[in-house]
Amino acid sequence: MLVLNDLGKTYRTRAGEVRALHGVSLRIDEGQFLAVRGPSGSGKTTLLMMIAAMLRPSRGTVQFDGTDVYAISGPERARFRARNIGFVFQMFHLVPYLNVVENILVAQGARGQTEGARARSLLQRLGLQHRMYHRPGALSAGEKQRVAMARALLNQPRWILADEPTGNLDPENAQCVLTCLREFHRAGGTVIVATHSPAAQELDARTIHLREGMIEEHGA
Amino acid sequence: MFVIRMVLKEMWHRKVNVVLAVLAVTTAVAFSIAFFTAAKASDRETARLMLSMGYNVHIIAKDADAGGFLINGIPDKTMPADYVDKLAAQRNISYNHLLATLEGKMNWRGMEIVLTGIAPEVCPPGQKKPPMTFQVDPGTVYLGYRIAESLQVKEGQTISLGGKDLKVKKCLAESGGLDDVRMQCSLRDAQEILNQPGQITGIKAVDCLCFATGDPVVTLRKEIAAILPEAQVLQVKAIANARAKQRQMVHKIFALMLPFVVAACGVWIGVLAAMNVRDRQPEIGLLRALGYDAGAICLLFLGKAVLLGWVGAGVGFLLGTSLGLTYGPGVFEITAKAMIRWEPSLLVFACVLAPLFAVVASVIPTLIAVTYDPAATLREE
Repeated sequence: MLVLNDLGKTYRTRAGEVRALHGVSLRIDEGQFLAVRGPSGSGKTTLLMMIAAMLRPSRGTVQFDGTDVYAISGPERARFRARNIGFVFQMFHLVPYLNVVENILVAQGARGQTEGARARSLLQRLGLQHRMYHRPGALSAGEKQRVAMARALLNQPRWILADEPTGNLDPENAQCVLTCLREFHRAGGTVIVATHSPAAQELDARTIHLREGMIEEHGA
Repeated sequence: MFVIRMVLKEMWHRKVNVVLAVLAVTTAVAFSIAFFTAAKASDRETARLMLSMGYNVHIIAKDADAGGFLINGIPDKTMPADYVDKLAAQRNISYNHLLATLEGKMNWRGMEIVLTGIAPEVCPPGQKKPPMTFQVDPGTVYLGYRIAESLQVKEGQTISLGGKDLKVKKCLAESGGLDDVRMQCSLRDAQEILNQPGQITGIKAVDCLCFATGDPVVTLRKEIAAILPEAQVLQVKAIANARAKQRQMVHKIFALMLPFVVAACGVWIGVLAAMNVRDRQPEIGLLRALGYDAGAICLLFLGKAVLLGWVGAGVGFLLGTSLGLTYGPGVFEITAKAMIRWEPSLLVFACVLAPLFAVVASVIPTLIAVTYDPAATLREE
């Protein structure tokens, strides 16, 4: 279970302080599918980064199963992320010099051992078996995002955090990615998606709306 | 290890960055090897060039008239020939190239000459070097220019000297000095001719005090007095100073140039590493997000530096040595063949020091990479 308690984040810039998130409290049970919606600059990415144990909040706590992830050491937090969380980014963030299989195995590189067979099986599931040894430069946006999805799934995480995963995709590829997220959810995983994609409205997901760093409304 | 695979793949991917970095390490290694080789060759060349000016240390009998020796060039007293062995048996001393001689004036075919008997040159333990002068075989003689010219003696003739037959091995070129009226034969032959069995008049040597502080002659006298209290030491200051200054000058030039070259190459590598870190910000952010710790990020960049160092060490060694072998003989005409050669020990040094150098040059960019905030990096994208 994830509990966000009075979460706030203020960025200090040259132009002054920017309040990105303010007083966000939320409880997300294991196995939920949560869609975080809101206009650009509403704090969706900041919220996801903080949940992902990557961005220390200015105030409040992020608790996974009762443990405040910002109270543990940096290396412990890194291990926690590697074990429990899979990421999908809008910009894919594939490593340009690694081929598709290696880009997936990057997720396990931090552990010191890699499972090539599982990576290949994920690629087959995502219809990328013919692209295994291609570099990201040779892939379409949809293919890149499917590789990123496979990378997120490789470690069999409990949580998948996806930041605008369909933002750069055509409807067909967007649907493919969302289907993949739905399958992960059906298998018992927890998904948090920050999105404003129309396709995402079809998701059977609990929705929260963010505006100016605050939760504006809780949807169904 | 996956990170090592990433290092290799990244190097293959960013070839220009790798080539430029290898070039920097290669330049530093090649210069270092070329400087080291040239300094060594220069030392030897200086020593050989100074040979024409003679040895710079004379050890003569304690009771010999030093003033007379300076006027005549020949000591008036002898000492046992085994003194040279005593000196040659010492370790960690400041002289080398010990040459025992027996000299005497005599009249030959109406001409006053100097007969010099020369023993084979000896070196103290651990200081073995090629001899600085020629070795005279028993039964042969080297004639000074004036003797050969005035008395019409040719190479290959046999002459009789003090009742001993000697074959003229060589007639020497004009020197404009005492050597023109000198006959040089083996020590044993000279001892027979001059009737001085087991005796020598002096020991010539070269001091190794070019880089020592203080007055070299004081150091030499102290050392030799402890070994041979029955001898006195004279140093030919002009030769010693010229030799020391020449060697010091070469070392100073190299000592001044090398740090500049190495520092410039270090900055070059550092800048390339910084550019590499900047180009790879999203990748670093991703890896941190995936749970890679600071050690893995360091390995990614410093591992690359080590590989660059090894490649640069190999190429730099080949280049530096090739430059030495190609251009060395033109610069060091006398000693290049003996002194400039492949030195595998330098490759070992290069393979240890070049990666260390590349790592040190890459440390700051690597530390910057480690401190990247993954959230900030990924959000900016």
